[in-house]
Amino acid sequence: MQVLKNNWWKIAGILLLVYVITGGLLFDVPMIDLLHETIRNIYFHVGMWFGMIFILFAGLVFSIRYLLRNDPSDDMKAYAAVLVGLLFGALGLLTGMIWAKFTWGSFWVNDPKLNGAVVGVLTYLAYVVLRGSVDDRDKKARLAAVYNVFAFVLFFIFIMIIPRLASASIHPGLEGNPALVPGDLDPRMRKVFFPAIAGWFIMAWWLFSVLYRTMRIHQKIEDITENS
Amino acid sequence: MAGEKMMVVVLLLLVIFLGIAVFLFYLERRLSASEKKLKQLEEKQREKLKK
Repeated sequence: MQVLKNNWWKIAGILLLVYVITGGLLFDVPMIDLLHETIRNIYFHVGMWFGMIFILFAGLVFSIRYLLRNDPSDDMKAYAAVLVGLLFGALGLLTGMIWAKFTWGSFWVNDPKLNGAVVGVLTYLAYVVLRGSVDDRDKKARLAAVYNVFAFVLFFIFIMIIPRLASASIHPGLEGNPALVPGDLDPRMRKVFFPAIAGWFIMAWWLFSVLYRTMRIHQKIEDITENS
Repeated sequence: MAGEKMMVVVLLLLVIFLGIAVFLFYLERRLSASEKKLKQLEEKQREKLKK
């Protein structure tokens, strides 16, 4: 019973994604020119991308908290969040590329939205490189926290603002938020799309918590061996 | 025929996904055990330093 009490949200996440995989591939979807069955990718590609934004936002909160309280665990949490965000970002790009191949005939096209997305992900890769280039633990944490605040702002500009300024994008959802505006998404798809977002959010948080705990154990072992 | 093929794809994806979920639960159990051991080690070290 205690196990269920501690893990209910993980079980809920698993059930949601089992529903998304099943319903996402088997339920009816509207037949739209050019998209056809590939429209089902929205449950995975957009869901993972939202999961990435959610966990990167959590990373931003941890970085700000580190700058305010100077607690090293906040820095470690921010790092874990960014790594999970990068994983979701890579999966989001990959699912997008596969979709593009079948819809546009090419894995990548020179489009402001696509280019903005990849530059945004590269901004976060630079965060990982920055951490690796500094040895001093406190200095690394402070530098990384400050950079993470800028990285989130830059990321937001690259994926949300610049593509909307350039009106020539062929990527769906240029006007407003893709799939969230009323009337933008078919009601049949909403019953899978919203659970998909919740499921990917939970998955991102679960992976983050596992990664953070692993990092904390690694750090503690290092501290013990240094002290003994 | 196409429906049957789709079912195979869905089932395969479900097996892969549930496999990842089970692995994550297993990993969490191992992490909890390691955290417990580490806590004991830290307490021992603290006692050693006190002496």
